[in-house]
Amino acid sequence: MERQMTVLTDVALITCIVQRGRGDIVVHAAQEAGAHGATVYFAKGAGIRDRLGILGVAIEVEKEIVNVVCATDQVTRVFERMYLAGELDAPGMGFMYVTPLDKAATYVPEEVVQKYASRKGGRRG
Amino acid sequence: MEENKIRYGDYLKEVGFHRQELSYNDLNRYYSLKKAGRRWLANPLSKEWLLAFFRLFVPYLKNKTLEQVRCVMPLVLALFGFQLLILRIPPEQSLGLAGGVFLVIFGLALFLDGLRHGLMPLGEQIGNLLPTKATLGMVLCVAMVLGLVVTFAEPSIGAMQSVGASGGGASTGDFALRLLADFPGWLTLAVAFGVGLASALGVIKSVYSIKVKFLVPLLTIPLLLLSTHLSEDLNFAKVIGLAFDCGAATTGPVTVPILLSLGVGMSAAVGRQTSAFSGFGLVTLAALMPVVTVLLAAMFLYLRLPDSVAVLSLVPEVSGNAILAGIGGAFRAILPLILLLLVLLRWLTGKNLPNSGFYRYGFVLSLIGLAFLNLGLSYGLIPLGAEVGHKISATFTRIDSIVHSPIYSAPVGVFMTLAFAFFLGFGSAMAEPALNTLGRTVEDLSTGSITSKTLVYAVAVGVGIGFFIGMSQILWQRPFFHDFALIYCVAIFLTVISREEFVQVAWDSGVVTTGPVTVPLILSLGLGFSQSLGSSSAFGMVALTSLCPVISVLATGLYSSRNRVLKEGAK
Repeated sequence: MERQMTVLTDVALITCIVQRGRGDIVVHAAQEAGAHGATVYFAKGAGIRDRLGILGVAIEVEKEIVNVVCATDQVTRVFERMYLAGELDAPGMGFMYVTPLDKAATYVPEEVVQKYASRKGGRRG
Repeated sequence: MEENKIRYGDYLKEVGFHRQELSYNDLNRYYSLKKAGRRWLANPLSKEWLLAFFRLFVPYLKNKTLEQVRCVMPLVLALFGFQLLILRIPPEQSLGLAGGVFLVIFGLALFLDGLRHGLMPLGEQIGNLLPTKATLGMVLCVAMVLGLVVTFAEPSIGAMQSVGASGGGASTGDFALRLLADFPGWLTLAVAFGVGLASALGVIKSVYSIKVKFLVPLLTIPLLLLSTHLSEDLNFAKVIGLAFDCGAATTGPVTVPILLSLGVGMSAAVGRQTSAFSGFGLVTLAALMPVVTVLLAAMFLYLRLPDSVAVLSLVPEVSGNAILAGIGGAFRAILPLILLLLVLLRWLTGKNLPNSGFYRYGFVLSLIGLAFLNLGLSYGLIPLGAEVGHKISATFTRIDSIVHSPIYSAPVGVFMTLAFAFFLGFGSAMAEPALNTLGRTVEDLSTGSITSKTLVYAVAVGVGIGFFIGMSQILWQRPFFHDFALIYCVAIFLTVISREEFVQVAWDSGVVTTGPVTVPLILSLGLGFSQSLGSSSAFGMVALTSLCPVISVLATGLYSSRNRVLKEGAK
């Protein structure tokens, strides 16, 4: 069988940086809001603790970075939910941003490809 | 039909929560205009500051305290519960004890967070810088001095001293107790030299990538032979237990992270180690070397003991105000370490401490925490342990202070005592946060072939068995060293036939469990128990509880790798 790739368009990447140990909460919120999955990795942050003065001691230097790829239709909703769940409205709790993605690719079930690829004049790579 | 069009984004804006947009350029311009610039919430007690305080600081305090509550409370509840349910005697002075336990929890939380903010990052920096800037000889010297000073800051060693002081051993004429009570300075110094040697040896180990598998038998076999020789002298039989206890107790929450950061930095800089576990093994050395030095110090002191007690006492007896003593002890422990690290940093980088606010916070916090911990130990955990240890023998034998003793018939009482010992050991290991951390690290490093749960259970069962054996030794007045040597031989045998990764994990995990809560508890419980039975060989319990997990982890490792071999063979 010939192998083929389906390129997904209209995708966006949400990146959310939170303190070590709080990544799961954010991932969970993203999934609740409709995101399919997330990638988490560890990192070290700098800067925010100095801004907060004495309150800065409550902030972990060690961070978790949550990457969520989602469709542009759902991005606002997922973004909001992650923001609220991660309590990013409190100082020092984290930072998040959306990056528009040119294209993405992964396994796409055959029936989905059948249904949509022809309608949009599907591009094959 | 008329069609209304709304942008989906506008719709979401209305439905969603309150949201506005702000250009990052504006934000930046705002901050660059203001002189004070980069500070947020500069005005404490403003509404915004208070809100931030509640959202940040309160959960932070809660988490840090809860961690320690989870570690200490099960033990304390077990001790109280045992008194109430099995012995059916209300604990004495329970208010004072409760205050002490509270101080232990709070002190431990403050102390550990202080370390995290102050000493540990500093130690890491130095560990990373040292190999790049100094010759091997210099590095060895620094490692030696660092190991020495770190020991004085170790709360577990302080806890052993306070157990000795509360034991009032000077009058009993028992040489091991006298060592602990009359020469705490000498003992600590001996342990410190041991740790210093160990950290120097650890550097050599990581430079020449010597395997722990070879190092352990190389060190322990002569050590066992020496101990066997000494154990023929009745006075020394108990000192051997004390020496092994000291070794196991050294490796607490200060020594381990600081030595580890040094070791990891070192092997990363040398870059010759291939195993991901290369940071391990150093801790094991730090537990073995002090045994040698303590034995040597004891031999030296023994020769001079009979008349010159008062002259030799290094640390003046701190009588009177115990609160001041606790605070003074904390300062004596932490300040030299801080100063040493600062001097080292200055020497290595030519710069003073950067970003010093957080470091200062960490230093102050670890000082206060250690003072609280010292107080809590001497008012809470140690009396509690001693009391339970004393009364526990009422389950099977007659004790004057308890009216209706023996409470149960002899076999039932003995069974209850030993079962209690096992579960106390098991529970204390399960509650130890350091063990859970180690479990996760091991799971990561071994890519799942040793799961965190397996390791934690193996270690906890080992600790339980160790405590069980220790109590039964006191119960039947068996000499400590014979059993211990036997168990040690088993451990060495398993070490030789196991894979290097398991060996490193096993020896380290045994050592990790004996922290600042378990050590005083086990020691005071054992001492109380042995005093009530009229025997006095409670030393060696800590050593047993740190040796048995080695065996259980090694056995688990052997079992799992054999299983895997069998499975692969079947395919």
